[in-house]
Amino acid sequence: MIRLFNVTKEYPGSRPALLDVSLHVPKGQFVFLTGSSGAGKTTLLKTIFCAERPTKGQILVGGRNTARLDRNRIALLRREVGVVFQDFKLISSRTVGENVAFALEVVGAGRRTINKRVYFLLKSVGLEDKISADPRTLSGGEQQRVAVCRALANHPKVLLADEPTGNLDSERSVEIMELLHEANARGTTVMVATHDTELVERFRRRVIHLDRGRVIEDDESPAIFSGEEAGPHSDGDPGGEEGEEAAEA
Amino acid sequence: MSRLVYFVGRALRGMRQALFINVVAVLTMAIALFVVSVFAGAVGQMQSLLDAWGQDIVVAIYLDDDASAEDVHRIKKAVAFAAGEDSRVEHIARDEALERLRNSLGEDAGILEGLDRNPLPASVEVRGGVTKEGPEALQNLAELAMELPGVTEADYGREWVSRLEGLITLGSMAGFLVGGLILLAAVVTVSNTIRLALFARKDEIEIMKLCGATDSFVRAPFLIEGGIQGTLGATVALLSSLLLWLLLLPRIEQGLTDAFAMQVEVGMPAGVLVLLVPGGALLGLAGAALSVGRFLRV
Repeated sequence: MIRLFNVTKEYPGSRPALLDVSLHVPKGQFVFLTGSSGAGKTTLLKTIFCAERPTKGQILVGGRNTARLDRNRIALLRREVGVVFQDFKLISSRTVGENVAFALEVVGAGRRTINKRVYFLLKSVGLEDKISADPRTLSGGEQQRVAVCRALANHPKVLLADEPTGNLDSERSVEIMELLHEANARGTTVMVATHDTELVERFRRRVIHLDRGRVIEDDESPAIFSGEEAGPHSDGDPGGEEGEEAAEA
Repeated sequence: MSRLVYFVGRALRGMRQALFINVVAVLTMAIALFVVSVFAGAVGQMQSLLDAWGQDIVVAIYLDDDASAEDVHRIKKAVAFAAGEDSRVEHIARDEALERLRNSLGEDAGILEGLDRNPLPASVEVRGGVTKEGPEALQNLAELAMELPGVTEADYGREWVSRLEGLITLGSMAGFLVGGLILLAAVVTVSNTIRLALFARKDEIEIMKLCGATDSFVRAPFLIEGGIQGTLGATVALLSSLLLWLLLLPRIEQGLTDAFAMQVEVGMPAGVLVLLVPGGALLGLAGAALSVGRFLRV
């Protein structure tokens, strides 16, 4: 699903943010990107959703070489890549429902489809009663759940999360990670950049460790996921087709 | 269609969010278009008035009292040839000239009673043909007539025709310059309003693009916003112009009638008024395009 070939990203006047990074993330895999601040985690994610162009190297996302995409094709690629940020990036002038609807409006979905999908997504994260609320009145955990709903609105093939729990306490962090795991359980490839080692330990998945822009460790050991407290198959099913159909019925 | 409704909805929502600045932009556009339309209307009316009078300009060639019938025939023939095919050449005998004067004086015709002899010369009047072609043609015709034997003077109101034409040329140039500057200011105002809207919604645009919005999807509402500002401004300008013309027309007509001692009819500058709204919409669109294009390149 995601392949990087000798990717280097340099910014003028500073050391490379990424240096000769090569990696392969197969379809449906869950990957943690770890490393201290400035290790290159955010830059790596940015190059995948084309917010940054690599200085050297090639990146394939879903078989498409991002270097060869024009602006319109990048827009189309991004419809298949959901992104979640540490600071949520919700639009304060729009309601919670409108924030989620935004991603669907962009792809030209019809009003009825949008309403159903937004309700379903918010219901799946327990926020359906906040649909008309101002996002600023929500707690950090709730805002991040809205942001995850928005990222999942278009059934993305890839979900990228940049420090999604950075502003949350440990309990809320686990909730958000569960949502990401649920998305992964439905087949979405997920990459989570984090420096929270506790979470990485708790949700044991492939870990790519970056340091000063280089991959210094890639632990591909199979996932051992303890399902009870943070299981991917909980009742809520954000983004799932079956659940949505049931909700519509 | 539903896409257009969506974009218009977003444009209106954006305008509502920054109501004050949008009202300022609409009023600036309205004032600019109002001034330009009044200016263009006035210059256009003067031009058409001059054209109308041009149709009616008479070159009067005054004849020597001793001119014979043969001289008159020769003069008529030469002048008719010089004035062109569709010209009309008429000989006005002295008695006829006096009779005309008496008729034009109306109730004051009594002042002519004291004359012991007819002081008016006979003349040849030329209408149409080259007389419609402006001051230069009129002057050439008059100069040619002056060279003919039996002619004492040739007159066509040279002074005021030249002055009026000069005035209109000056007015048109000033109008183009001032109007152009005012319109430029209006476009810049719309452009800046849209730029402010773009900055105010920077985060929204960023998220839009992250969600996979194409450039045209991002641009469309802002362009529509500019178009709406231009259209609203032009509508205000149109209504104000209509009101102004309705109020002023009778006065202008009266003033011109008094000034030129002839019945003058001035119509509304329909062409200018019809172009106002589409013109305003285009200007608004252009202003928005300036900012949107620049913003998205960053």
